[in-house]
Amino acid sequence: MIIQYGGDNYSLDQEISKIRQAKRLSVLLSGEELTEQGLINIYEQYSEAPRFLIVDHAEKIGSPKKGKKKGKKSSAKEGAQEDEGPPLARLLKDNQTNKHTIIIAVLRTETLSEFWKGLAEAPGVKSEHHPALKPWEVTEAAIGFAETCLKGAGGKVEPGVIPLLVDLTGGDFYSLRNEIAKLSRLASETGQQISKQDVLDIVPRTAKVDGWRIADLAFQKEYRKALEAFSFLCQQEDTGSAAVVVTASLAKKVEMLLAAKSVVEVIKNPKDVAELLGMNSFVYSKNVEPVLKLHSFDSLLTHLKLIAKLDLFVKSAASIALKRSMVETTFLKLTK
Amino acid sequence: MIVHQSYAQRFLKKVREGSLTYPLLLSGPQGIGKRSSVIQLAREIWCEADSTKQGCECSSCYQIRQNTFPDLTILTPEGGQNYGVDVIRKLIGTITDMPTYGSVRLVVIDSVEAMTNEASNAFLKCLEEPPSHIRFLLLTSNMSEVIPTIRSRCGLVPFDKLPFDFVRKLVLTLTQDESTVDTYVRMGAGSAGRSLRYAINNTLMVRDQVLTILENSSKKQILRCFSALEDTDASPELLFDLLEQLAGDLIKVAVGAGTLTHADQKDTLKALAQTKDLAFWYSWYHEIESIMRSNGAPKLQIKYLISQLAKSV
Repeated sequence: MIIQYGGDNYSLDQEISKIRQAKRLSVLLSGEELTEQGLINIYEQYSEAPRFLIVDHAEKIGSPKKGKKKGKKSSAKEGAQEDEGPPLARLLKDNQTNKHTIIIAVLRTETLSEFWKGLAEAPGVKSEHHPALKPWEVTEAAIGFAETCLKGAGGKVEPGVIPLLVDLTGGDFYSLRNEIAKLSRLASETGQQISKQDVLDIVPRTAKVDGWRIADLAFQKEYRKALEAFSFLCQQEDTGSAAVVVTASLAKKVEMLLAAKSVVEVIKNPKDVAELLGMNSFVYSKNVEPVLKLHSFDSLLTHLKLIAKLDLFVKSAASIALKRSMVETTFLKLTK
Repeated sequence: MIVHQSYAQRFLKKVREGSLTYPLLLSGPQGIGKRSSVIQLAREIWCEADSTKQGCECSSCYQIRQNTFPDLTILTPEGGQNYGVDVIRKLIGTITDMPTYGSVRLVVIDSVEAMTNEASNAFLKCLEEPPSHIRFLLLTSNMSEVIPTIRSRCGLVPFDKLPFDFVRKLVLTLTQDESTVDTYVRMGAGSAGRSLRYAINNTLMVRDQVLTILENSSKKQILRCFSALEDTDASPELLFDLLEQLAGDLIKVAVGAGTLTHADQKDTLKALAQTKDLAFWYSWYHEIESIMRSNGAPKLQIKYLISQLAKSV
């Protein structure tokens, strides 16, 4: 998989993290402003990661014309390498890359489109256009990915195992593949199917939880999941901060739902509602509309009251344990 | 000149004459003239010319206005923050200094309720037995939040509300629009400072926005309300103030008695008051008051208060 991404002022860490979670499929690191030291730092930071391959002067790879020119001017050794095949294909082969390899191309040219064109035309390279996954597409893609990996590893699973795996790894493809490899090895040793219990015993929760996710679960009336995610957030951060973060997320969510509900009662067309809310219509129909059906206008007003009270409570001098239990009680009340 | 505060004047006169040496706690709403009275007292003690003349240019009056007079210390909470123990310890460290110009030094602590517990405890001993040349004048606009141990060590000097006509004259110097002057004066509730601040900031415009938001909320148009709230430049404090005043007016309309603060919007208030029963307005007013004193997220709390009007009767 060859990945391209352009843009200024982005953090490579974040971009790579997004790639791991399959939220972004392309990274193109522009080398225009990159110093040698900067490049070395990137090598040190990312070259150990099995899925990342960093290529300096990437514009010189896959471009037959440039390659030839360079070959003529360069030393005899380099010339000999040139004969072994196209540079990119050789590079891919030498680094034992597979279809999940992500190439971070450090470009030092402004002719980006030519580079990608050259890359696509290079023999032995299959260039595909992969638009970045939308946040709501990650889970489905991760499930598909997990199924493919399991098929490849020959593991058999009980129903419900794959969603659990995706939930625990948070849609991080890299972790998912590693965990599936572990589970498949276990299954091949025991000769049994991979059960949910195996997953819970073996796979650690690496998915990062944030307040939004918990608020979503609470309003989807997924009481148990919300509690579990909140408990995980309390481990991730300290309990006091987790309570504040979750309360703020709950508040934002209930405000949005209340505003949406007031509009829905008047305007029936979902697209118009989404537009009024300043929301992508797909996001609205996927994430908001089903939740709205679970709550009446008056119940949302009561929820807002509940969350406003919770806000006062979590900022009071009450003990941390009490704050935590108050948040948990609020989840329960939202579910009713 | 201290005006319309005859009770407070008697105490301050005694301080000036040196016959009253114990600490005083001056209480009353913001903008009622507590700080101005203290400044005037300082001028009366130290003015080298005519202290009754406003804008006296003598060296002492100039330094007092600039807050650089050596025998007058005025402590104000910085940026609305509490007084920490270090601030109070620093103050205590300086009170043994002898006066430069006369026989007394005035130490004024504005918003004394803003002391942290540690700061209050550090201050108590000093307040109980101050050096003979020190006169403590503590100011508060929220008496209930001053800790009892400080209250019990001070002579209490309540400041009265300023008369309507007096404040009206002051507001008229800022705005010529007679139709709005009375409303600004009533909104100040006897505090000249508040009325003037409302008039300077053209608060009635924000008031009208808030009223529209309340009307929309009662019609269950929550999205409009929330969007309008996000768009407004008004501070949460002002929004809370306005909500409190309007809630008070709604109760008065529902009961059918009392002078409305926002009498110019009587019809709108009447229509709004009819959407709910009296019990609701009482509980709404009570909630606004209690939330105003809390430290919750202001936007969330305001949205909550406003959305309550959308509740079905």
